[in-house]
Amino acid sequence: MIFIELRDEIVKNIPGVQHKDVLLLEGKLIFKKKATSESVKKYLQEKFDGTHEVIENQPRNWPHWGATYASELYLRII
Amino acid sequence: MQGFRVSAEQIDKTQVRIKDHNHLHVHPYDPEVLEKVRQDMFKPRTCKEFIDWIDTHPHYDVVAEASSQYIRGTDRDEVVWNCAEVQTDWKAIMDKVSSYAKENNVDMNFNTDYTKEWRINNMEEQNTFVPFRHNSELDNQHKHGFKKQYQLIEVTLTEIFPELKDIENLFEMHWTKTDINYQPTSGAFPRHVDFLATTFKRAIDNDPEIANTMYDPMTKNPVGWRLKRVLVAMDNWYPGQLFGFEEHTWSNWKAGQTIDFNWNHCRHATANSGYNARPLLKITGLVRDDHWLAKKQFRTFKI
Amino acid sequence: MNKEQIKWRQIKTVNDYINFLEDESIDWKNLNESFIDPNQSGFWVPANIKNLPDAKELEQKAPAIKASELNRTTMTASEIELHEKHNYGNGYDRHQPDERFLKIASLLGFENTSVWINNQPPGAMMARHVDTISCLVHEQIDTIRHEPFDIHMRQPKNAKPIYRCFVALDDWHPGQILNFEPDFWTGWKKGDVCFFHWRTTAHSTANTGWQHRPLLKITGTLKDDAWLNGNTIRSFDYND
Repeated sequence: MIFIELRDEIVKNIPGVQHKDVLLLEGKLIFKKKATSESVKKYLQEKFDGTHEVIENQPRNWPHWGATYASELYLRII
Repeated sequence: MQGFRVSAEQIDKTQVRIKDHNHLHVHPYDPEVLEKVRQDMFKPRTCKEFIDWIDTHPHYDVVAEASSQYIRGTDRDEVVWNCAEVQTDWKAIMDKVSSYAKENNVDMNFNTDYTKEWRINNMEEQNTFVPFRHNSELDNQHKHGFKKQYQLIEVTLTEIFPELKDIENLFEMHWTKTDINYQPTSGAFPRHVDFLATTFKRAIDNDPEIANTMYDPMTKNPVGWRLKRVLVAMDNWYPGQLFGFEEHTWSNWKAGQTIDFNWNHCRHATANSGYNARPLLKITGLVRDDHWLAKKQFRTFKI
Repeated sequence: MNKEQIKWRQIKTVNDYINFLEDESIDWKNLNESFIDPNQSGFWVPANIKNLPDAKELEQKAPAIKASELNRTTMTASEIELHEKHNYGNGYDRHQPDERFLKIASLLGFENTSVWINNQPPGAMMARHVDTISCLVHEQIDTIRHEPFDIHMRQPKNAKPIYRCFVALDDWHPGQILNFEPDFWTGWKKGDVCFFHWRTTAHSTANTGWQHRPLLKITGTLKDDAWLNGNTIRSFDYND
């Protein structure tokens, strides 16, 4: 499971989500828009049903970043 | 073909050329910067073009971080796995390594710097071979308090450890490069993502076929080849010896146990918080897609 | 029986215990390793606290004890000798918690506590050891000096069981390693509360990542410890 392939799958299967909406940070998917994160979370919950928990987190936004992020998602093996 | 060898004297220590240093080595990196660097990394290049690109990139550690496509929650089996067991007289080997470490005062004197390349150099030819070590990577590490990492003890280019060269040969790699990664107590190597650039660069430098092969940025390998790094435990694990692969760990190893790991995407880090030095035999090289390591098979060797 | 074990069995009071720990002739490593019991080692995470205050200002604040130094406040003389021999420092920046963080101990139901913030900066590492909770004993020494000491529980005899826990003040970041042998606490979320068998669990920590790793260390007794061993993770809210 690698990021680019997962993102391609997300973009293909969730209407309205573009590649630039889903970024990667230290193994977590990070989103500027909460709504996008919600859609992706739902998709991942179905995809990994029974094997992984999808954890949503409020990311820390750092002063040296050029944008603000509303949500991050990561997986935890059940 | 023009060689790319650079001697210790020729290393450009002013290599970090970013004008704005405010955000240099400030973690975590900006996700959009990582995305842009990843897009740049995915431009089509030959292996020679790729190694030139990362060698001259002013911010190598951003490139390394961007090159990781690891997703947290990946199964441990896809991160690190046993690939071999090497049965030999590890006690005799360790007695020799321990004596060597004592003679060279490794346990007390292993601060890393830019020129000595952390290697024990006592062979003439060793002095002209300079491993890949980007200055920005060391700047980043030193800035964050990592000054005592480990000591690399040369195997491939010396005749000091013929028994370890025999072990190196078991894995049948091309352009193999082997070191003892000797981590004294209190040593810590921070989390990082590999390119296996030392071995890769050496292959490119000496093999026009590999130099001119296209580089696959998804797998981080030359097309048709796999760069491989295996770690052979030279001694049993002692409590306090820490080896992390993302959210996973490796511990409780026995001498001879050999692991392969997803060096391409997994951040990994080591620390020795115990009371015994931690030696691992690090064997890196290139294999073809039909090699047993590429097929994730397991082998037992007896020497 | 070695000399440490002989002296250990002679301890009767808290004062004897402190004097024993401070005896420079004891072999600290031998003594410390004698406490390890792999059959009773490990950790568990029985709670999470929502809405914790932010701890990021600690990264800029000067600590009471630095990760790189060796200090008699947190270590005995023989412990320092062992650490010097192996190039270790304190292992974390020790900060005095203010009221905002002291509240967390009360929230969890702790009483008679010792509370410190252990912030482990990148590059710092805490050598493998078993806890002696000497910080709690030293802080309360005036009142408990002559109390009988339980050498099996390694605490004052007449007190309720003493617990130690860590509260994560930030999410886990890659490279942060916390080994409560034989397991590893990893992937924590801010607010996770980790208890461990401090009497018998050897543990070590290293921050091989790039971000600080702040934990609140709480040692003390609990008004009610029944919730610690339940099957569900109890949720607390800092704002309650």
